[in-house]
Amino acid sequence: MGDPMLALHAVSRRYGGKHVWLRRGEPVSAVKNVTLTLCPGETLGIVGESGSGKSTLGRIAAGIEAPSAGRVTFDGEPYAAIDTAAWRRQRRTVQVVFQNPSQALDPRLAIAAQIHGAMAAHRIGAVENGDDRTQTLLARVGLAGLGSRFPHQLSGGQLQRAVIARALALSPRLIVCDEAVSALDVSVQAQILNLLQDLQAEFGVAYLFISHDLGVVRHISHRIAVMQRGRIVETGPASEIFARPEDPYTQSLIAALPAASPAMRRAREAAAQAA
Amino acid sequence: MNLSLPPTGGAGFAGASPVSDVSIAPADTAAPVLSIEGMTVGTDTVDLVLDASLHVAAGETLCLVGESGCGKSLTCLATMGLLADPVHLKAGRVSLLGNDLTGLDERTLRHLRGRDMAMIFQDPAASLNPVQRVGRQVAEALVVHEGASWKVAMRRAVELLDKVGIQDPQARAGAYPHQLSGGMCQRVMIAMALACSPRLLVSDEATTALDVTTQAQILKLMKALQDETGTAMIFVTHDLSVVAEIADRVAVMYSGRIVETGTVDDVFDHPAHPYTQGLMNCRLHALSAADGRLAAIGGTVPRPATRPTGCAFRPRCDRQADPCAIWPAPRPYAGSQTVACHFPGQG
Repeated sequence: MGDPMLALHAVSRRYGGKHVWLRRGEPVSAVKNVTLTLCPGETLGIVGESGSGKSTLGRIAAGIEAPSAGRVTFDGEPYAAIDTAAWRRQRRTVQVVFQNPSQALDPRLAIAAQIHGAMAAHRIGAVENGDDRTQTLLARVGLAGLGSRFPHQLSGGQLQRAVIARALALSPRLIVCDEAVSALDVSVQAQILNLLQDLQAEFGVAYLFISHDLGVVRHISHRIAVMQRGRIVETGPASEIFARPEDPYTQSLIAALPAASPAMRRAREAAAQAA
Repeated sequence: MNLSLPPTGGAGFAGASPVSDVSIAPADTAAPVLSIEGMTVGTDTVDLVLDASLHVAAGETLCLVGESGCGKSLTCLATMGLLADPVHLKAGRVSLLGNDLTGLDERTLRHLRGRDMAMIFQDPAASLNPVQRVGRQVAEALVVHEGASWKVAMRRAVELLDKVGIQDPQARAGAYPHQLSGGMCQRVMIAMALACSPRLLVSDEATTALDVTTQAQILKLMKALQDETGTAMIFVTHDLSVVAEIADRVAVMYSGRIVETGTVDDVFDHPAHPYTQGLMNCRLHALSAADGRLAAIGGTVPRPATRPTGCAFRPRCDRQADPCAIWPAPRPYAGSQTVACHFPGQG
């Protein structure tokens, strides 16, 4: 896939420690010595259980949190220091979609106004080729005609579509999706996954796709990194990881997956009996 | 759907008289442990569960599957007599071992809950009392329902914690909920629910918030305990692979109605309702992953107030035709299944 766009070199993140008043004990390392790369138009899945550090890794990759050690580069350039004007400009290229869309949107603003607001913040014109860009984006994510709705008037799936439209408004090259479909119902989850894949095909956007759901990650990812206690224990092409997991932790995750059907469950139980 | 629940288990019983004088008739072995007939639940203006009928036999696990807002949690709460205003039971009958529960007063129900029927919720941390040691919370059910002394009950509680797979149960009994992991808290909830050997256990998304490895352990534990005690179980989940793990029979709900029932094998092998088929097609499993686009179900689940007349799945269904404007009464379908569809079968 060519040269990497995003590169993390030996990145670590510690929380707590000597500078904080009255905080006893050792500092906690959420991310330990992680190195990974992401190419344009690629989807890298990050899987792990709760507390494995995958969300912290996502925040570092998105540039909204600085690592305690290591380097993050985008197109070979390091991220600017957080809260500087240069950093704010860089945010346009990297967007984040979180798990709970109702918390990511302003409850007091209609969704079209929020998309428009994102563009205004980055001085992006509201009109493109004579069309209202906000309306084009809403139509693209399946919300045509719903721009005047407020968040409480939309379903969970529609809200996540609005969040995706707002991220797309800035024409980002990378979207960090942190459990972006985890709170959605299965039928809606499938719609959003299809939308994310269509948008990738259309705009060439790359995804860092973080989820605890191995089925979802396998479906959407080109490559997968498995995290355990802050470290990446295994990376590889999606199908390889599931067909031939090498790390014992990956093996235990796959072994714990519930069966896809009652027939698969019986086959597994029969195999366990025979062993 | 956000409903505030009255406290269950533990502290909620503190004011009740210690030994229950309420009893229900001995089990007729042939009769189902729980049977729900024509149950409608809702507010004065809108129905949230419509005409639901279910039965669960001893030692059997019935999985209730559906998306958010389909009424599966309300069905559980109605069963337990835990509906809170303004939602109430509008019609139908709920019977436990042949005894009608629908007319019972709160005091009587309180004696039955925790003793004859128990419920486990999704978030164990929110269901446990944060300022009481977990051993005492498990023991309380025994004191309240069986009249055990605190000393005996605490000893039993430690045994129960051991039984649900908690290491070093003596020490853990003295822990507060915040000192335990999510999986451990859910084990404590299971110990509490099983303390009085209930005939019916209702579990509402009990493993949904847990990591995949913890979920596998809890499912295995619940199955093992059920084999031992013969408890009838209603297991609510939106996750079809959890259904494949634990169910004997399945009931699929959509927008307040049960649209399909059957044995787990029949429903997985030949789902008859177009909605069940849609759910089966859009599931993602890491070991049988589909490439390319998913067969998503278009549209969204209707809100109860704007539910279409007749079959509520009609606007999202590619088989919809004139007859669908009238609700299709559930009818038998191949083998064990019943389906509420005018055009069942493979589309």
